[in-house]
Amino acid sequence: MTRTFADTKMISAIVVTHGRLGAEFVATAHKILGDFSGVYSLSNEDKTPQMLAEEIEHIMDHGGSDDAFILLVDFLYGSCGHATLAVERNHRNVHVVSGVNLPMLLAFLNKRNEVPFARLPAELAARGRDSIQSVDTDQL
Amino acid sequence: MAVKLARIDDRLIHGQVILGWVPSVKPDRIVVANDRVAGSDWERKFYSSCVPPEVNVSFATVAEAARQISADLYQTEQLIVLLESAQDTLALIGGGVELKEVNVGGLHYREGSVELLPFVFLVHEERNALRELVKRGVTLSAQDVPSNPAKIINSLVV
Repeated sequence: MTRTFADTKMISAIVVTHGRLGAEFVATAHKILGDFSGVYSLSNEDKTPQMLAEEIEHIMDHGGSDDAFILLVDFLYGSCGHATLAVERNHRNVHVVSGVNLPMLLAFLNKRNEVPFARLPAELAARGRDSIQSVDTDQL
Repeated sequence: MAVKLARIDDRLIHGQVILGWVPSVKPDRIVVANDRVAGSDWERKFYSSCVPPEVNVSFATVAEAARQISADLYQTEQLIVLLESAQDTLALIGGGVELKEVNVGGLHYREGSVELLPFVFLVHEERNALRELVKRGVTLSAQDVPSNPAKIINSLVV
C-alpha cells in the first residue's frame, strides 16, 4: 500500500542556516509564542554539506517513522541548500523551503496542525514572501 | 590555458565563491573538477543553479578536467577551477595542468584532522598531498574570501 502524506503524525521543522541565525530564529519564536516542541536549528559553520546532511538525518532519526519534516533554509545556493536538498531527495516525508524569515517560522508553528503536509511548504513560502514589502507610510 | 584561480574547498560552489571570488576574479567559467559531482545529476543541477547566468559552468571528473584544461579546451576563457581536496589538486597537476598558485579556501574538521587555520583542517593524507604540491613548486595561499588577507602556508605543511 502506498502511504500518503496524510498519514504523517507530527510535522517538525529544522531551521538550517549560516552562523547562529537559525538558533536565534527559534529562540525569538519562543519569546513570541512561548513553549513549543519539534523545532530544531542547525548551523553550517565549520561543516561540509555532507556533515550537515548527517546532522539533519540524526535529528530526524529521533522522530517517529510517520513524522514529517520541513527544512527551513536561509540561503538555498550554498551548503545549507546542498545539505537539505540531499536529505529531501532520500526521504518522502521531507520538504525544503528556502528564504526562512521570522513570519515564515511563526506561520509554521501556527499552521502545522491545521494544514496537510502536502500543502504546508507552499503556504510557508507564500507567508514568508508576503511579509517582504517595501513600506510607504502614506499607503498604510 | 588561463586558470585565474584554482581553489581547494570541500564545499565547492557556495556563497564565498559566488559572492566573494566571482566578483573579484570575474571568470568566464567555473570548472568543478570532482569525480562525485561529475556523476551526480542532481548535484550538477544544484550547483549550476548557484552560478550567475553570465558565468559558464562545467563539471568533469578530475582526470577529464585535467585533459580539457591542458588541451586548451577553454583557451578563450578565464577560469576558476574548484577542487574538493589537495589530493584532487595533485591529480589535476599530474594530469598536465600547470598551477603556480593554489588557493586553499576551506577544508573542514573531520575525524583525525589537525587545525592549521580556522578554515583549514588537515588529515594525514591531505598534508602529504599539500607537501607534494609544495615540492612541485606550487605556492599555497590560504584565503577564504578576497576581502581577508592571504596567508602563504608552504612552510606549515612541509
